[in-house]
Amino acid sequence: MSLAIIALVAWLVMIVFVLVPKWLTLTDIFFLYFIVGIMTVSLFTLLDVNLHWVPVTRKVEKSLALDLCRFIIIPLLVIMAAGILNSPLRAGWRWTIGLVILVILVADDWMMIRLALIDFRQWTFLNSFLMYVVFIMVMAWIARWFVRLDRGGLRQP
Amino acid sequence: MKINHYDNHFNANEWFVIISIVVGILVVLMLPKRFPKKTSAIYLLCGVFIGFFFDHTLSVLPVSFYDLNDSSRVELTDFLSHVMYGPYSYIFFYLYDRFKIKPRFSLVYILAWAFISAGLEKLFSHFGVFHYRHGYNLYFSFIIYLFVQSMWVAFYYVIETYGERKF
Repeated sequence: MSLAIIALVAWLVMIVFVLVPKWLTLTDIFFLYFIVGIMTVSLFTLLDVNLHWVPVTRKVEKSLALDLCRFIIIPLLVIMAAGILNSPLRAGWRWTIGLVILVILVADDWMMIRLALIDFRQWTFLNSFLMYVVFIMVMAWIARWFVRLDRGGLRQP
Repeated sequence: MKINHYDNHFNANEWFVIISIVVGILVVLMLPKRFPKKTSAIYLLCGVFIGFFFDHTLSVLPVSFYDLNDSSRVELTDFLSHVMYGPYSYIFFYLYDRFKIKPRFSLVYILAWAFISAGLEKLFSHFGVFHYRHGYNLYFSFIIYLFVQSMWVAFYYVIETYGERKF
């Protein structure tokens, strides 16, 4: 059942991702997706295999559900947050929507615990919250840099 | 969770990974510029991401088909092993674009690269970068290479066609 629930949530996140404006080109989105994907899997593996702070499930169905979280739900939410923080919206709106996405990310962690995909041993929701704050801020900064990348460079003689 | 240890010295596998990265980066830098900076960046990252994706799904429990480098823990060398795929994917896209491979010849191109990739993986496992487990072997990787590189060709066309479109 966990796989079906997570698949449904992932689908809803994809619907929202497709519908909301991100103010990014497809190249920007793929770049951010690759970076977020790399960071997410590294963090999960580090917290599980090396530190044993957040052990993950060893069951096949739940592992597939966890992969949907790692490769769809978390990356798409973080990309949306990074896009919105760099958007032309008013500052108040940007931070409010960013905060809402942050809450959804922490709620996603709560859901993963409820479905026994992960377990918080030496980790708390506050740690998660802070980790996602840093994650989103870093991604927003990377997005800002990448969007302007082709505008810089050496001048042609 | 049981941690498998294969060795704990800075030896062949570490050197092999470092030399591969250096050679890969040099090749990328020496090739004439062909893509805009952003496109080059995603063609480089594409390989790194795929490395992370498969190594962190196939090499962790419940399947755990292989371990990387010295142990089943995540180490700096494991991270570098994934970075190593960056120049590799860039060269894949570069040659595809350079030789203007027509879609009907894409399958031949992918097959050639799958053989090259399998050959490289054989070399990597010989030097202790990969340690296969639970019956996994190079033949499974060959199938994965065919699949991944087919996705890369599709990705190339998507980026060439819609890369600059805003969403």
